[in-house]
This record gives sequence, structure tokens and C-alpha cells, in this order.
Amino acid sequence: MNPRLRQVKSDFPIFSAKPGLVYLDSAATSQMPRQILETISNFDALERASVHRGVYPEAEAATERFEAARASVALFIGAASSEIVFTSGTTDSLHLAAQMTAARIFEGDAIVVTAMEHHSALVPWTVIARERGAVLRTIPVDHEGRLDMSTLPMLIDERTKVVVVTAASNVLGTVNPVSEIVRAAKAVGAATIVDAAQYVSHLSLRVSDWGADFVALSGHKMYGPTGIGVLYIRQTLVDDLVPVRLGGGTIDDLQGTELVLRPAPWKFEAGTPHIAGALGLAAAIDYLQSLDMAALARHEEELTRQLIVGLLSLDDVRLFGPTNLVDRVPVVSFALPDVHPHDLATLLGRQGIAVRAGHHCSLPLVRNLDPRGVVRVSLAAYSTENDIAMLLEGIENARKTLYG
Amino acid sequence: MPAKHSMDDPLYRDAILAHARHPHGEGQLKGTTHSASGANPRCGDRCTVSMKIQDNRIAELRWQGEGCALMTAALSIISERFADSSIDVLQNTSDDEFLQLLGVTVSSGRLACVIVPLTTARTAVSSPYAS
Repeated sequence: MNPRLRQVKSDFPIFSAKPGLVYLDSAATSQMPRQILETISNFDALERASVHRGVYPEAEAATERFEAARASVALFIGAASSEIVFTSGTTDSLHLAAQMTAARIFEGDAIVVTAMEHHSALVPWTVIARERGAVLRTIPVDHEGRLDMSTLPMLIDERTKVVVVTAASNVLGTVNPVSEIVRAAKAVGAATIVDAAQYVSHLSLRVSDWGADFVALSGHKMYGPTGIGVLYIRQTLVDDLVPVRLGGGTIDDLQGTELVLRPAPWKFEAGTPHIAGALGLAAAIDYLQSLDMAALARHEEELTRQLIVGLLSLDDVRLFGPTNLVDRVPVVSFALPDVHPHDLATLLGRQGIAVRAGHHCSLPLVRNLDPRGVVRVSLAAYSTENDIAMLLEGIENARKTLYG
Repeated sequence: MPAKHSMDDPLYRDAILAHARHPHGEGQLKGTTHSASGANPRCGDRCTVSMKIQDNRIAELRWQGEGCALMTAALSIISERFADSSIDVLQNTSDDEFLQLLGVTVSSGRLACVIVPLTTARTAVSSPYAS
């Protein structure tokens, strides 16, 4: 293991405060290291001022830091600064993208989604489709948890106006062939929206590789604070997009009912942003890069291998999603026929083991896997081999508790 | 301190586990006069409570269900407590009193598991069964 990774756990105060905690729910939210906690509290305590609004030194310094954070995000995903809009998170970003693209949807149009979308990506379009008389088409998932790409030509046709795809599934761990899907969408003139919430903390991203119009991500799933996220909007689109939130910071001028909007990205950022959150997100990027993302990926891959092998050794286990290590993130879901997911998660929780059970905000997918819900284990930089051993022991203990 | 054994567990106490493992009152009811079904769509927990009500009395109560250990235990306790008693006993038992009956600490995330069976039983009282 990379020496830097070996000491990662010590960066996270929660593990010193709770030595018995086996945290396996990073897909829900990741823990925050000291370095980022300090960045946030230092700003709020010692340097706080609003951005883009004052001309005194503290205000200018805050603005500089905020815009530097934007530049960091841009560099991290291979975009231009003007393509980076700060939001309150992936859900916010996906809703913004949906609201700004809904105007191009008319009766009889098709919106293509995948069977493994999170509700935050799916439900805005469920409602738009219903309200505008459009049809929702779903790229199906096969028994290995991969998208059935052979259906693409049938689903993405000249009626298709928008394609929504998750880069990595929060239930199955599958990494989807986003570039291929975007290519098919572009060929028919459809807009593309990518949910990268589960992707960016595990795999390097260059938005030009995907070529998508919109990409959404969250700070709190990549060691950063909650309440901050990003919507990447491809430069060529911004002039045609009408912001759905207006107000402080979005306009250059207002004369009667005539508006002059500020240029992107600011025209999309109404109100005072979560400044400390943006700085925290930039610090999270620094942190990730200090771990060396390639080394991190290898570490997570090895742990995922141990996790899958371990789970497959359980009596009567059903594992969902890919059982190999190709094109996946460290998220694995499973179910046991004799233990309801809620009981298992509660009993594991009692042993200090944090996993998540239920439908994971993906009812269409999970109902087909198991109507009771599934148990999800997700790993991060601070996960260890011992965490996985404790999980497996914990599952045995849970079975003993219920059945003696 | 994390609880490794049921004796230490505030929720999965031996009493609850006994009900979950060997539930009381499971099955179909001949001569059902009242029945209702309930479910928690978020987790697939579902149950049907059937009663034979005579002279404002729940003479017999049976249930069928698919769900977690807590739901099974709740249904078992409902059967033990409210069968062979006046319907007033069930109707006058509040959610809090039922939780006290269970004798365990149910976290907010698991509340539905035990309350869905209770509300289903209450609904059954006012739902005549047409066979």
C-alpha cells in the first residue's frame, strides 16, 4: 500500500473519536479530514466576507479565494472556470440542468434515462415528461448490473431530446460507458446530463472525454462539506440557457423589466454562495490529489476484491451488480434471504458497523433486485482490510442474534 | 459500547426475538368478519390482519405478513394483546402505549416497522370483510 494511504485514517478525527466505528457508508456521505475542516472553520472564523460584493480587502480576498476554488474545480475535471457553476449539491445541479432543458421538450418527445438512475436524476424528468406529454424510455440493466447497450439504437432516436445517465451507480457500483451514450445522444441532437456524484471521488475525470452538456457532482461525497456541489455546463450552451434562479449576483443591469444578465458562470449563481463550502470543496480536491488518485484507485480496487470474495462466501447471499473489478467503483450491494435488510443494518449498526439498507433513492432499480431493499457497502480512502473483516464477522453475529 | 449480543441490544431483546422466531397468531382466519392490509412500500414490509368480531369483541385475530423481524414481532404482540378482548382495548391503545408494550427502544428509522402493523389492525376493526 502507498505509505500515504496507510496513514489516511489518522487524517479523519471521527476515527480517533470513535475507534470502534467501521464506516462503510461513504456513498451516502464521506468523512472529512482535518485539513478540510480547518480550511472551512478558518475561513468562517478569520477571513469571512461576502464575495463579489465588497471592495474592502477582506471582501476582495474572499472573492479571490472563492474564484480560485472555482478554478481548482475546473482544473480537476478538465473544464474552463466559466463552465463551473457552484450549487448546493448534485440534486440541486441535476434539477437546474432539468429545469433549464425542459423548455425543449414537447409532446411526443422522448427522454432517455437508465434503469439505475438515482431519484435526483430521474424524478425531475418523470414530472417533466408527465407535464409536457413526453415519454420516458429506460436503458435496461442486465443480470450483471451493466447497461444493455444493444438497446441504444432503439431508445435514442430522432424523437429523443434529452439523455440522462449516471457515471457510476450508487447501488450497483457499475461505471457506465458515458462517452458512448453521449455520442449516441449527440448524433440525434439530444442534450446530455451526467450524474457524477459517485464517480469523482474514485476515478479521474476529464469532461472532454465524455463530451456531455451537463455534469453534476457533490462535495460531501468526496471528503468535502455538505451543501456544496457543482454543475458543469458546456461552454457552447451557456448563451442559450435561461437561468432559473435570478437575483443577487446574476445581473449586470436592470432597467424596468429589462435585464442584462452577467456572463456565465455567475448568471447561474443567484444569492450568496456557500463560500466556505466552495473552499472546502477545493480543499477536498487538493486532499484527493495528495493521495494520488491512481494509488487510491488501486487500494479501493483491492479492498473491493476482498469485499466481494468475502460476501460471496456467505451462505445464500445474493450479490447485485458486477462481481468483477472492471468498470466499477467500490460500492457493493447484497441481500440475505433470512435477514431483512433493515434488521441487518440495525444489527450491524449496533456493532459499530455503518452500512445502508433500503432502496437507496433508486426504487425502480431496487424493487427489481429485492422488494425488501438491499444492503449497501461502500468504501473510501480510509477503508481498511480490517473494516471488511469486521463487516463479515458482524453479519455472522447478526444471523446468530436472530436465529441463535 | 457496541452491542454484540441480544441481551445488550436495546432493540433486539430476547423478548422481541422470541416473538420474531416463533410468532403468535400467524395464519389464515376462518370466519373472518373484518380485515385490512397495510404496507411500507419503501421496504416491502406488508401485512394483513384478519379478525372475527362479535359483539364489539375481537374474538379471534390472525395475521399474515412479509417483512422484518420487528414487524413480525409487532404482529405477534398485537395478536397476544388484542385477541379475545374488546375492540376498545385496541382502539384506545396509542402508538406510544404500543411501543411501551413492546418494551424496547425503537429508533425513528424503524418506527414504521412496528406502527404499520398497529394501524393495520386498527383499520381492520372498521373494515368489514366481504368474502
